[in-house]
Amino acid sequence: MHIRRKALMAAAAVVAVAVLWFAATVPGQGQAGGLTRTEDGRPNLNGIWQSVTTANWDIEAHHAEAGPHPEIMGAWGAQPGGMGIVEGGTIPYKPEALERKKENFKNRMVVKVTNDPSRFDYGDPELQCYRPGVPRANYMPFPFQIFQNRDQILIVYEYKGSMRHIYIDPQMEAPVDSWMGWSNGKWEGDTLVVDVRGFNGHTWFDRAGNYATDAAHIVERWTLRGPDHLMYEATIEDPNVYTRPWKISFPIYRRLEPNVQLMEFNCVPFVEEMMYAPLGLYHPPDRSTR
Amino acid sequence: MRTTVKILGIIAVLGVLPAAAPIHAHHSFAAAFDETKPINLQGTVTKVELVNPHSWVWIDVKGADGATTNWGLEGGPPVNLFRNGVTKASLPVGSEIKIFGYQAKSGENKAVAVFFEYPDGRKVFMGGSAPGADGKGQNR
Amino acid sequence: MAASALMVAGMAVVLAQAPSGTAAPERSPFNTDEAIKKAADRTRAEAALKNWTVSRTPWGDPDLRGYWLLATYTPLERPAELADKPFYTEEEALAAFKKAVESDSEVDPRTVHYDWKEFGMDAWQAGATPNLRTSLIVDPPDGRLPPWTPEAQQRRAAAAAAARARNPAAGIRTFGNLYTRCVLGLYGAPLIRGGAPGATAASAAAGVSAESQLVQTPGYVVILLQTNSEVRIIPLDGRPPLPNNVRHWLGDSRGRWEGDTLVVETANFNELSHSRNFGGATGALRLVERFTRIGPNTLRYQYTITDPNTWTRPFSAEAPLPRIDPPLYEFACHEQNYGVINVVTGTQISEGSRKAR
Repeated sequence: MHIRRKALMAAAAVVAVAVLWFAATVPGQGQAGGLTRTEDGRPNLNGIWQSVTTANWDIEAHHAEAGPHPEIMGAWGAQPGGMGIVEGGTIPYKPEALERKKENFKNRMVVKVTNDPSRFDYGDPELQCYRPGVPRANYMPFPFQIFQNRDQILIVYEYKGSMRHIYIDPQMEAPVDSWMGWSNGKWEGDTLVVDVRGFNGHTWFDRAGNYATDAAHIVERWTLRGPDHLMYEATIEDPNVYTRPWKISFPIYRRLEPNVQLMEFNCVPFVEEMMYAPLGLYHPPDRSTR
Repeated sequence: MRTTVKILGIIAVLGVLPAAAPIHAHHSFAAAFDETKPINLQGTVTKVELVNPHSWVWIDVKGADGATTNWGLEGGPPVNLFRNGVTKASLPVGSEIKIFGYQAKSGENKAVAVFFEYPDGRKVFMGGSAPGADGKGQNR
Repeated sequence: MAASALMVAGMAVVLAQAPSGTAAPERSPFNTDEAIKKAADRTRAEAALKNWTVSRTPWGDPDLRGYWLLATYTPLERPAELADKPFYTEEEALAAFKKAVESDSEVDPRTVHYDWKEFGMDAWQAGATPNLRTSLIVDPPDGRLPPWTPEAQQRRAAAAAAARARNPAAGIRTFGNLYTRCVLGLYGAPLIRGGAPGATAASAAAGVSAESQLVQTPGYVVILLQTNSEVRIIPLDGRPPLPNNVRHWLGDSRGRWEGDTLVVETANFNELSHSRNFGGATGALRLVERFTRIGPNTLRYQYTITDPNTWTRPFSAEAPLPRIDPPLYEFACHEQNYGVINVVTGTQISEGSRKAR
């Protein structure tokens, strides 16, 4: 009896410390059900997050390989191995779509820029500093920050400062196609379910040429598992490309360094020579000007 | 009857010099298009690209000889068009439109459209919808 | 009488609006008289409010959230003919606004570009409002930029000479400006540029695609800019600034509350960021901005710029920003930048430097 009371008091002390610790880390917000919650009782997704996978190279399982221009890039440019994020392992391509994926891979570093509407026939959009789309933005090797309000959740990705609004209330249908799609979200219990449509069909899933068209429909599920882990899954449908819907899933980790912040990654100046020199439109700036 | 306005050409060159006042140039437009080459075109829409910073409308134009050429016409930023109620369904493929604009200096079949008009004279992006368009279709 | 009842009813609706506003954006007006009247009425209604206090976010910060317009017809610098007149009377302000709107909505038939009104690009279509001030600059008291330092004058002369002596073929880096290249948007840090009322539409009388959004969460304010879909993230937790060698296009911001005013200090700009604004400031530029909501639909925005390499003293500017409807749209500028190709190609052709391809 004596020992049990001591144990209970010790346990209560631990819980009290944990409660105080949560309260200190997230001022003004409460805790219930083991998660920190916002004022309106939702799991608190605010903060800086990053996934740790090699999916940006290839969302299916892959081994390490020499990368582009190994004669210059050596180990810097090599592709690491990874187990992939596709549930079930392989993407269920229609046969003609799989041929297109292989074409994509062959041409993934072809840069063919014109003032002509066919300019998106080639190349990984990431190489040219184009927006990564959804879900790729969530597994790029860059952090992102979630800003959560009751009516709207904003996600800002360090890569190119790409952003997306997740509209909770009010919602509207995508008025226009875009790279990052149009996201409408709702809470199902403690899971944020986001329905994404309105893609422009130019984004890839990775550097390996996996792709979707403007008919893509993505449903994401974001679930906090403890204060520092977000479990992410997405169901992907595109009747132009796949024989059935398929899923990806991976954990996302909170960036815990004190004072961590997103840096700028404005890659446009890094790609201008690559894109415009072949057209005779790029000349290095004169050294004496700014 | 059209006076060329050389000042626009001067602004294009001055674009490289630091200015005393903030440069308001949305773009140095005159550099791309030729004020001595105004054109009037009429054709059928083949593609509409609502992309920033300028939208582009592509039309098939039938020449007097019966041959068809495809022209690209630059329009205003889509973010502004959306506030006019324009959506991807506003100008369906196959719509007949007219434009007045200025041709690209490069000589390509491209022009900047000062405005777009339906055959009945209504301006296209001032909230009109194409004759026969129900505004609900998806261009897929 | 019906008009004022409507105005009151309209205000009640506006006051009851949730921060996120309506689901679909309000249509741009095409009638200048209607737009002028609406802008004047709403400005008057806001100014007439007494004992108004700013609402709070659920966690207790002043609520600045929403969509705010950055375009204004008020020029950055006070025109010479208004030298001793920092403020208009209400009638003069409305007359100046009306003149600016009507001039903006005219289409110069010689313009080698759009009828901006058809494309909804005029600032009065976006919801620009009149302003009692005759310039955005409020200090120095003459409403003009301070004098250049000798170093800045040398820099500007050297840049002008180098531009003349540049690689003869125009190229993306030497001709295309930061906005045409889609490196930066039109409004970043600071948020307001000032208008040139009476300018032809081709030179952007007040500003285009000038929408912004302010988002708040505990410990953060985020400013989103429509042009180039830019983001400024402002932590409020008093953390130290980035090390001096780390430079960003939009600088690095730190914010705090002073009463109901959000104060944001930004430094760590790179050297190129302001080269096209203000005649060529340096990376030493420091910006202090103040945001105060002064009415349900008005955000007062003030800034002070200091760059001892460029101006002999700091200067300050301010403007009231009117609330506008959501949403912001994706501005994927670089992703389909036909414009920069056409502009640079056209320049090469004009300058006779384009080689046969």
